[in-house]
Amino acid sequence: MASWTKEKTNPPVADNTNTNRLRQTETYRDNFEQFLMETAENFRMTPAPQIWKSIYHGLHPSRKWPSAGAFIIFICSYFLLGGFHMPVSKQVTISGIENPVRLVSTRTVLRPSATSEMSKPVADISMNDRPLRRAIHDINKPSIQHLKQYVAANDLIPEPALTENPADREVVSYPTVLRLTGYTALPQESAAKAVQTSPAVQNNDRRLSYQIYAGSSYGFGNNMRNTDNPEAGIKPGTGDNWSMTPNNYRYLPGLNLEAGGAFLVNVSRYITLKAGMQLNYSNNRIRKSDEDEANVPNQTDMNFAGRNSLNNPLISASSSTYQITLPLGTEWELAGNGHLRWMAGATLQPGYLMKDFNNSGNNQSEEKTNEEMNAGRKWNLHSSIETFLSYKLKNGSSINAGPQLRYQLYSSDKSIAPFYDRFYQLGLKLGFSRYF
Amino acid sequence: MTEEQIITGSISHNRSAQEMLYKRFSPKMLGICYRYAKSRPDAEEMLQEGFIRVFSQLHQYRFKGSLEGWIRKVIVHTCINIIKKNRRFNEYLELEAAMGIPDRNAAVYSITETKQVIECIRMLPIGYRTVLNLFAIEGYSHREIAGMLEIEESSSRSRYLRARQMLEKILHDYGIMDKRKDKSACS
Repeated sequence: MASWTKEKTNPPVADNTNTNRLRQTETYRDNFEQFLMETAENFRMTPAPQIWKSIYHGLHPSRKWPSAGAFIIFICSYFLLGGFHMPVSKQVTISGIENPVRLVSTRTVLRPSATSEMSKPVADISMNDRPLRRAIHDINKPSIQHLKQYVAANDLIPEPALTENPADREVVSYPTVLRLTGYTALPQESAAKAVQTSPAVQNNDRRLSYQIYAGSSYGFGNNMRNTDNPEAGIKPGTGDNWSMTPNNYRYLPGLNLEAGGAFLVNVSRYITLKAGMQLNYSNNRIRKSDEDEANVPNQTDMNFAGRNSLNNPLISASSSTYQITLPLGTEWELAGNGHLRWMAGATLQPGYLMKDFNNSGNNQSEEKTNEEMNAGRKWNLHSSIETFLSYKLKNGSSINAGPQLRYQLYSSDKSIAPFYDRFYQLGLKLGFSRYF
Repeated sequence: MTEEQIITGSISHNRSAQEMLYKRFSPKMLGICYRYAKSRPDAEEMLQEGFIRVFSQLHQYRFKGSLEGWIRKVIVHTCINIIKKNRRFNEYLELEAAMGIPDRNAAVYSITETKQVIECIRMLPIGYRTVLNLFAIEGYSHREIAGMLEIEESSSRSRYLRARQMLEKILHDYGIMDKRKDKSACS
């Protein structure tokens, strides 16, 4: 502790009353200061737990961006992984085919012409016919055919049915089979008849789709002291000081809504790029304490919310914001079959704040003043990650449903404010997508 | 962990060492901040900013004198800077002195004597209170106080006298000084 100097002060000469008084109580003055010092030395207070968190975040600001960093890593890793799923083109030499594959109704077997060397029944194809056997195997793999069993014309030996439903078996031409599997035939093929292909095949050819969605979520917020800007604390334009401090008020969970649409482009079998527009409504509930009883003159006031441990009145308030954002990101398939898929997605959402309202306890909303709006950010950046199940309907459309986490990357207030806040929402999203 | 290990770990940004140092000194430092602040949230804000400075400047501690004393000095300077930044130092001085001491804390009677005294100190206008804290409790000289608060040395002396008079009156009104005199008489 700093050394305590017992300095004898000279009382003001002009005030004779003080001079006489101090001369009489000189000894008591030293004791009085000693008393104050001892009392202060024994005084302790327990700080709130979030104080340490704020200090730690102030010391390690790089840890405030976990979602953005995770998003970038996620995107990079999935683009890298997505490359492994790209089909590899192979060239298959098919010789001796004189007759094309003949189309029949359903449930026929892929077999080359009887006059070719590869005219044996499927069951008799030797290991030397590996490319063809692989093509047959690949055709019938669920991941390619979306539970559709592709067969071609043959009236000799039927391929064992992989599905019970006749509707799941479609007839395709031999060239289409090769195209589906990525094989390229060196044609000496004659013209094939028109092919009835499954919707799954048609969809694989389509790359552009649109999506509309809506969601609701619970929004949470926290606020911390702004230690980055030493000049923080002065209101712009007025020179007044901010009266609020980060610990005067707490954010409570509030309802948030969003709705929007997007365009999706398939860049590979499993990865889709996404760009759209979204409207967001946020309702931030605030609970604040104030030592000044004058602010809550009547305890029956609608926004009076009791008292805290220090007997200070608590006031409930809320603010509503309307924001438009532009989600840009990607979706990718994690697993699935023809109808049901498990998807994941991530987006970055630049956003613009359109309206901001303060709601007092008597349900009256007041649009924030220009001064208050100028202190807040109009533009902000959000990130979101989501996972959902996508169920494909018979008409080719999909219904999507799943949870989403959305996080605001920048504080709602500019750097001049004495504190900064962070908001995040956790909720459910329901959507509908369809190919053009 | 010894104190030296805590200091070394904190300088190396070891989270557990920093947290240990914070938990060891934060209750007392918050008590110091509370004497300078308008309210508990303000005190916690001072504490937060103060400890950020402590950890940022800990590498300057030369192990001369106690660590508590060094941290205390940083915290007090942080409190003074925040008070000056709020630019209400002089405003409080004139306004509250003119209106008299606000008798806003009726709960003084119901709390422990130590906190009673602290709350009585906090009743003083911030300009007077700050000088009283620095001179009577922290032990700074009027010259040092004048330099910290950017006032004249004579102004520091007069403010201290005025603060002391007001505090004595408050303690007397709440009966705290009478109790202490009785205790001294008994001992």
